[in-house]
Amino acid sequence: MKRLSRRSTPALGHRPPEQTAPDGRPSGTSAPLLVVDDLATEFATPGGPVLALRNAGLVLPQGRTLGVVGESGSGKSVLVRSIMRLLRSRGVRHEGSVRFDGEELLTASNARMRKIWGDRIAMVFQDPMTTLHPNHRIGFQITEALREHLPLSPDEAQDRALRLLESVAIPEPARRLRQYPHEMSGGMRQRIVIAIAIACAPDLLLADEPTTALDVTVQAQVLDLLSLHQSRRGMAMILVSHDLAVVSSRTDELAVMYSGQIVESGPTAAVLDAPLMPYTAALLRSTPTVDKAPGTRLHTIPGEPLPPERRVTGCRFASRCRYAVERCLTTEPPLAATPGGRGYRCHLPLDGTAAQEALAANLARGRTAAGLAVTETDVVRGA
Amino acid sequence: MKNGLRSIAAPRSARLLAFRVARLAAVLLIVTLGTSLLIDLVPGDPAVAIAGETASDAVIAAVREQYGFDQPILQRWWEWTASVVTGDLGESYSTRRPVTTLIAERLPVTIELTVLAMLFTVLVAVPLGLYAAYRSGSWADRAINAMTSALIAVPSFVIGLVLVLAFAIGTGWFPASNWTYLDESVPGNLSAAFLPALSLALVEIAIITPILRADAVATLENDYIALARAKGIGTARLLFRHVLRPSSISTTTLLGLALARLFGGAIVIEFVFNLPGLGSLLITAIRSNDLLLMQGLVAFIALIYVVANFAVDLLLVKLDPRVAAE
Repeated sequence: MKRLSRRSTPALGHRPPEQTAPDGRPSGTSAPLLVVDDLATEFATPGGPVLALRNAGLVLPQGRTLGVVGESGSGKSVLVRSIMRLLRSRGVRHEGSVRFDGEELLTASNARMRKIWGDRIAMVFQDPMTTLHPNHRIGFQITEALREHLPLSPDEAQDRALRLLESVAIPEPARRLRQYPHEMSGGMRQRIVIAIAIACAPDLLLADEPTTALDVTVQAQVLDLLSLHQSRRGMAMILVSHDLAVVSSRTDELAVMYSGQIVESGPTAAVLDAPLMPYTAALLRSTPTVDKAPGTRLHTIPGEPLPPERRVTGCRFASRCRYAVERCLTTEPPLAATPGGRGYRCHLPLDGTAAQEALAANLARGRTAAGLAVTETDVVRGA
Repeated sequence: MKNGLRSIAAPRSARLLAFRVARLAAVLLIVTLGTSLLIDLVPGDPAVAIAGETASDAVIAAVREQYGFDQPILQRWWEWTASVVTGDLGESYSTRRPVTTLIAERLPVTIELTVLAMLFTVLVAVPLGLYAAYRSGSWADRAINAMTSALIAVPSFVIGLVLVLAFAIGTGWFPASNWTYLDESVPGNLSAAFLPALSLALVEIAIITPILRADAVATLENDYIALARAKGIGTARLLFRHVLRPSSISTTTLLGLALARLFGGAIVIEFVFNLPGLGSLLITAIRSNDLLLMQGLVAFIALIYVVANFAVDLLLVKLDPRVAAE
């Protein structure tokens, strides 16, 4: 069988962080809850195989939160659904490794996955208008997972469901249990989806753009609710968003995706303070924040996102990067790791002088090695 | 048109219901008018059939007048309808017995065949269609598709003959013909009904399986199915509790049509298996030029047909709570 991708580089992201006890000795006890290593996902389509995710690696310890950001189509959803192995099996091929609590999920049987789904790993989906079953009452939808995994009587399950609805701040929970999804607002439905996800107290919660489809006014409420339950129950959480602002204050670690790859990762604050990968920096410049002076123009990233399935020889971001030099077009940047637990895929990390020299040279020529026009005003405005 | 305004103001479901009732009445009207025309369409003179080939012209004319064959069609229809409304379908010319009695005698056989065939259809087509959808693209899906495509092209009476050859004459497992009534012997009755019901059902299975499969394939793409899978529930539960209902709109419509079609199909199959149902009664009526019996039977079968469709329409509203809420 042909490999989906060259295993030329180690998994992106830091190796499992050395767990150290207060006295400085490695404790060696708690292995990370989730270790994704060199994960690739390919879809069979009528037009041939499409590689939607490549070389993905990440490590998530118990109770920690990881943010995954990137533009639409960068492979964020494919990443979380691949971790959960929730993509319909036909025509989908995975490679690499997803270890959850020491157990390999990619080769686990379907029966084994059903034991893990809902009970140990749960998911909150993007659009609450389409993720609840239109023909079933809310009570049925909440108790279903409970009764699948726990030895509860119908009354006990009903009682749990009631308390779950209370815990996600749904007024009149007893009445709501008897209602159908179409009788509720989007924000309320997403709370119910959250209640379903946390019903069996999973160890890992995957939230795939949980607020994208909601009104701005309820977005914060839903995110707060997720954070509350995450910390209260000590769940590990992966929070996927295209919105940096959503993940910046709510996650410990951050992974930035571009064109089916994780291009930068590390502690959230460190990555946002001083991005190493030009794509992360560009994404930050294009995000509105309150501390930017009024009237500041938001930067846009020139060009179109590279579709994940497109094969290129060099860096996947090179065509849109103003630092790009010849090497970026000919050689794929390997995964580099820093002592601070950060990882990036770039020949010219932004903390080095090489990046500034390359930018100066590109400015002098008026274009990058990939032919992208760059001018002084772009840089001043953006930087 | 004086209640036109009120009907516009009425709730959508009530207007829908009124429309369906009106359609039901219109279909019955057209069918009964058509059966009243039979006298002009059927070859041979019914008066001759009743009076006998050797009867004199005067006798034939008297019979014609007695039975009203000489009256215009609307008049005949009106008189027939007026008595039907009181529950009187008239008397069979050939047997001199009330048509309603004849129908009542034969009806249980046809109903049993129809119900059994319906049962077979649902029990086979639903799991088969759901499974094919769940495994779409697999060899199992392709095998099911090939099987149903082949079956759909074969009329039920041909299937019936093949089944008789294989399982009645060939192996002797089932009787090739002859009916055993339920009160005579339950196993005997089921054994007699099995092959004819199966031949009726196979065609319906071939029609319904691919339709349900197509709808279920679309349903499986929904987020709420991903959520259901993410709960860790088993495949059977996923398919029957989550996929079936949202995929069942076309299937329910078709099952309603199937019910009516099975009822009609039973008539042909009864002939193949020589069973004492409405079908053989209808054929007897046609052979003996028994107009009133024909008219009563056709009207009765039409009534079953439209009522079945009407029931399906009501059921469809029930299937989707969003429709009922409007």
